[in-house]
Amino acid sequence: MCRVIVITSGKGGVGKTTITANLGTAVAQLGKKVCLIDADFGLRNLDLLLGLEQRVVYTIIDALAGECSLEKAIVRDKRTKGLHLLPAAQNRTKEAITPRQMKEVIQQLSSHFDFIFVDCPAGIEMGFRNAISAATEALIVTTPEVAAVRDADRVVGLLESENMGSIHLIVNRLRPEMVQLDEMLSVEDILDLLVVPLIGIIPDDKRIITSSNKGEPLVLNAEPSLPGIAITNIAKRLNGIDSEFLDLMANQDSLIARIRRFLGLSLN
Amino acid sequence: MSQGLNNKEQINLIKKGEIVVVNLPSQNKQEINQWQRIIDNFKTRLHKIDRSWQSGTKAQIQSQDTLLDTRQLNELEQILEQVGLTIDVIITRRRQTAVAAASAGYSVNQESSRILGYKTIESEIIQELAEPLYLKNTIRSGVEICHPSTIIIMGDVNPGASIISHGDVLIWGTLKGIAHAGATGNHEAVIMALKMQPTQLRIADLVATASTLPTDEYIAEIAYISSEGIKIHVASNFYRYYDFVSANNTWEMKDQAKFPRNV
Repeated sequence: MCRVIVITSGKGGVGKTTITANLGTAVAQLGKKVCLIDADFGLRNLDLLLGLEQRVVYTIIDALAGECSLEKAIVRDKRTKGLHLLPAAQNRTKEAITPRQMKEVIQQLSSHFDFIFVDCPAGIEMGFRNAISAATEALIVTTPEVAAVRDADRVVGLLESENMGSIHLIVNRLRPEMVQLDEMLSVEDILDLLVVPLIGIIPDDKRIITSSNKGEPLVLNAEPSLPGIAITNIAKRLNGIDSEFLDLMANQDSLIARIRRFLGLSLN
Repeated sequence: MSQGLNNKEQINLIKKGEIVVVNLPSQNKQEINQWQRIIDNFKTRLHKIDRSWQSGTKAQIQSQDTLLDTRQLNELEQILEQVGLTIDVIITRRRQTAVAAASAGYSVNQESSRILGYKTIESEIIQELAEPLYLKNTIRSGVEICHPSTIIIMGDVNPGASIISHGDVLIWGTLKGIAHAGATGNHEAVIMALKMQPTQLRIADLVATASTLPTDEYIAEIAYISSEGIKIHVASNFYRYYDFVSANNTWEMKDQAKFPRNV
């Protein structure tokens, strides 16, 4: 059965598209057939991050208008077996399609894929409605910032009122050294407010920026990186494979800090 | 401050004998996405409300002067279906709504505004909904809960959410957002929470901000109107020490409570 998962956040710039590209690649590496749908009409980026920009010929709009078949609009990633992209139209706005059309497209695709990831645009307007229309699961991306968490909370509320089947949280761009100094919200702080099950924590790393610019998802990199491992772990957890959370605080901890953290946690 | 609670701005359900009346708010021509907002708000509340009717109960849509098209009627029908209500009849004052409803296959009752006075409907809403609203969920950012009587929430009220009530607000969880008790001017109303960390507290026409110092302690607290404005007290013994004095319109310490407590 095909699982349709929307990746959303409310706030912009928290890493939805980067995570979609990497997570899609990681799930495909586990041997699944994956389709990534870019729902960010007018501001599409997913093709760039996957390095597929030059191979986009038709978009979802062309397929809906009947100018090509849906199969033709889908771009196959040659580097990763099983990974596909359905690009958004760059010359349209979010109002170009309706939630119903989105649902139809995803329904048609669902018999061909194991996973469909929908990259949701920022905001809670039409683009968001389109992106969540056919999804049965949601991954909420947030960064350890008050504004991002507040927006995530709003989005979780909207998803709950739409009866979203399962909602999981990804905390992106965590900087353990700042959490250690109490300069950044900790994962516990975020969970305390959102009360959504956690599926992964991705540490901040400048290699994410270089890999995005090169159009090469970090998980493809032969040299292992913490964010890459974290994303692969999320992919495994999505497939029901238990994998332990990385102990991101390990490097920061002196013995006393560990004890303090342990006590702090048990007090809560 | 009392305009904060605008009953007409949300969809209200009223149980009347065997049927449930669904009151739609009147249309605001200035707001572009009013329908979407009202529907979102309705869906949020609907899942949390304890329903007191059986599946298949008939619903009467009281759409007043709102313009509805077939798509909106279908949307409403689907939502009501989820809570076991089926649309029986649509009552409207707008010809276009009546036509849309009839062509979509609903029974329609078009009434002139003369027969169905607006005033009577409004007073009915207030009376029939005078029972408390009981919600079992976290209230998240962007959600506004309005109710013409006491509101009880089992769960947290997150920052960015607001709870507006004619009566008291009782939160069995942490209050981090905004709570407004006695929104129509009732000074006797109180706000109670297991953990008070509000963005803002409002009672009747008064506003207060609480200290932002986060604590790890869980002490149930109560906010009330004293002669010096809104104050917060430990909830567990509040009613033992305080009385509402209607002459002053404030809560005041009882005489016997003024004696030293540790004698």
